[in-house]
Amino acid sequence: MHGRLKVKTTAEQQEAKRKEREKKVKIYTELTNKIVQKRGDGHYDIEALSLTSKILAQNPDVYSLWNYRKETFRYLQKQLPTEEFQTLCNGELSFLESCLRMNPKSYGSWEHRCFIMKTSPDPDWKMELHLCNKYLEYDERNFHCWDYRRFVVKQSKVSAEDELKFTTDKISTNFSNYSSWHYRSKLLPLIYPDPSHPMGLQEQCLHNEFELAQNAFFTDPNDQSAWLYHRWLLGRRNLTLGIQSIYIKQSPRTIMVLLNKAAKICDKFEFSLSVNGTLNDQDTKWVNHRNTTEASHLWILKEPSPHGCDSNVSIEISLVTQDGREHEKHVCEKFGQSETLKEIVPVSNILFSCELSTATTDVLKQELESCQQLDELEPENKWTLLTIILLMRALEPVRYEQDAMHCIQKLIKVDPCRTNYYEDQRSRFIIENVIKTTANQQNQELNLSNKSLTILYHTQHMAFCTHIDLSHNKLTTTKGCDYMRCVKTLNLEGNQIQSLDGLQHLELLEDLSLKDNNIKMLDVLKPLKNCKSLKLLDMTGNSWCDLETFCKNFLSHCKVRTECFVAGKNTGH
Amino acid sequence: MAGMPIKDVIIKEDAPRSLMLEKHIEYIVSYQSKKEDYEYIMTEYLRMSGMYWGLTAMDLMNSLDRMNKQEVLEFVKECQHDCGGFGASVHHDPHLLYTLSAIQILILYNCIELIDVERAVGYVQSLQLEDGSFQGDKWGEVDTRFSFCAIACLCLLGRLEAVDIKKATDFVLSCMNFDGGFGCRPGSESHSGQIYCCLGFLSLVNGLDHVNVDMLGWFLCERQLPSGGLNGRPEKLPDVCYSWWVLASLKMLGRLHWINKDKLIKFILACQDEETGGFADRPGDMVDPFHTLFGITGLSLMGSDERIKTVNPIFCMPQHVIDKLGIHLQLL
Repeated sequence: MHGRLKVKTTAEQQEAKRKEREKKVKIYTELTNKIVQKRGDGHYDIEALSLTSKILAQNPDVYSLWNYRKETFRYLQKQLPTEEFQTLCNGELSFLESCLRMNPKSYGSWEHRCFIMKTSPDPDWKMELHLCNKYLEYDERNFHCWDYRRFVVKQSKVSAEDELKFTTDKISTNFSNYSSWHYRSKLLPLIYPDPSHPMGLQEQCLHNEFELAQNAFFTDPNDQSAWLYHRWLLGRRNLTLGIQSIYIKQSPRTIMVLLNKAAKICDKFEFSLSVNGTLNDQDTKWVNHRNTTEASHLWILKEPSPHGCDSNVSIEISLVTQDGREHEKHVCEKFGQSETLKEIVPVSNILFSCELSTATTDVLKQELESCQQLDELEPENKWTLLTIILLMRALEPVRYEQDAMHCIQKLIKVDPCRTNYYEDQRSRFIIENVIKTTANQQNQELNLSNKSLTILYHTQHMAFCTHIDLSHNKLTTTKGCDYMRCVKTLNLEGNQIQSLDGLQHLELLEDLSLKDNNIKMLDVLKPLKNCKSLKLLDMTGNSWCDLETFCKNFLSHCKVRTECFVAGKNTGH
Repeated sequence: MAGMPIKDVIIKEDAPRSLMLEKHIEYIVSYQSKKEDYEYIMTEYLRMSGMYWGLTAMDLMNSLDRMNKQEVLEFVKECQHDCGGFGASVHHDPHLLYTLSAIQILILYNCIELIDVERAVGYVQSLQLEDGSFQGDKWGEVDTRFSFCAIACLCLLGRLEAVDIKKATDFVLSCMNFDGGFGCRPGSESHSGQIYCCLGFLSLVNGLDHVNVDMLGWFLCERQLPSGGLNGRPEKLPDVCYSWWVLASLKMLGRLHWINKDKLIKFILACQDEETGGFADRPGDMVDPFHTLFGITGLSLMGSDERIKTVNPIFCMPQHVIDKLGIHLQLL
């Protein structure tokens, strides 16, 4: 079905081909009928193998025939002495090789080979490994062969170190070998594990990999594999689940807990809550920012106890992970204000990328210099530009902000196809830097206006902000705004918003500006029906219709200003 | 070591530029009438899927009525084995792949009651292994494609609770790779087809939060080559079927805008055959129903032509059919 060129042929050639195919169809049909008959009669013998091999040799995807062969092998295994059966298995392996030579990408052939190797009384795993080497010489990207290799390695207990050496050899022969780099990413954690390291790998191992990747992409800057692998090296494994902040409000009585990653309650973790030393086990129904129990960063508890959040009460919250261990415990004591925000992890320490040791920092700084030199030599190479940005983000995201923005502009010129991706990444970096540098989270105002933001990232860090300014950006939806559970004033003026999905959970929202956006249909406003605290909505500069009716039906509780009229509360309309 | 040229195709000046919908309709209609044809007979081992591809394409092109409903339904019924599973055709063994295609066909025609639903559920259930993975059939091949097939079958039948979802999810997640993508089995290289299956699975079990959206979205948008076409993994040629696997994946992740739509549309249209109708894997190659469906569904996802109905990105079935079933699916 793939890679068959349409070739124009003469009428003569077409006729000859038609005749040949007619013959093939006749043979195929006769064979098939014989096989169906035989199998139906329960005959598992050499003739079964002979008949099915005639079809499978041309068409190894007829899976039912491989199944008949498997049934025959199972049967003969019981009938034949071991030696004879072994010979039969060896013959099957030869047959399979001829099938693979013709079509090295048939699922059926490789799977049947696994079956024979598992059934064979005395399997020769070394020969199989040799076969894999051969087929990977023909096509180093044949994933069927790589998967078969992993099966052989597992069965015959080849060491991870040996396999790593195999990939090193493959990569040094030909850098462009994505399959080998991928395999390395699986082998390294087995050979050089270090659970205390953000990557889960020993640092020296990581440095070696940086060097290997660098060698590859400095030798051939167009070799994608090495750049892609390098990006992984700059990352981190999953964070251990932990609490970021705790927010307590007296009226209405609410506790909010912000986690450092999205997790599902009662699946990955639970909260244990004590008020004044007494465990609160009555009906504690935590919900997430969307009022469900699906995975989320933010968990909310209303009316936590009869004493609620009175100022002379001490509240203790523990995070209990799925293995039953109490992970961390925090106490909020005798607070006097109507609301308290306790920052467990300082905002400036929020990890958007990997924390680096001195040694790794040095390695990456050198890399950055080398990449910048390469960029001067090959300004059209997008991989260099992208890697420069990633290195800057890993090293000193705030310090390098302008340089990174400059690189993104270059990247968009060099690789315009992915402009939207790059603009979204720019938005992400800007938001990350603003969050990191926001003096402290008690400062509950957030200004992200005029930043050309195309998308919102990390909105869980905006959960406790009361005034958020996102005006004059390029947002097209309000995705992500559902985390803004404390927001009272939200300014979305001057964007391109067409959908308000996400706003329906903002119970405290009082003042919303949608001025100069792209709202064309009235039903777009439906989410606002649930914004019970909404008092003021600015809809000027949108092309909509029939607003009057809509306001009567859905927004009678708030004051609405438009170019045409001012309706709703306090105006007598 | 000299720099390698990028593997890609060049779209010729005279390549088709507009959608020849009528021709594609006729192509599918005539395909099913060529039952004595060599091509047709040699692909009997995937017939059930072949029918699903043709029927779905026809419905999306508003022409399902041109197909022989009675004949199709009889055929599907005949292919259900005692164990509850479906084979690709009569005299072919039961397999999850063809069980899904059979169910999709019946749902399309709103005739699911024609088969033994309980047995079909039992068949799917019986294929789940200890580690949560699914074998394709009793012979034991494990692949994340089968995890998707199993869960999709059960969702369409409204019986998701029949298997251990948590274990099934853990297995799928164990197939996640350094690039954010997914392979066939734990340790396998990322491939767009597998990514589509795993994301489809996660969408149906509300587990998309486990995905590294930015990393995977980037891997997927990097599939777009200078010709505008998409490949399945790094350094491979573009292929129209990836307009589906990659695009549907991006849709589930909420990152469809990371692909350049205009360039992709141009590529897909160039894969049409002006003479015979239908789409090929790349411009100038032979057409087939498989690539015809995915050319149409790719265009549907991008909303490029009003004449094509909306397709559901998880099931690759008409959205209006899925809407009627009330299935919960997650889209980021």
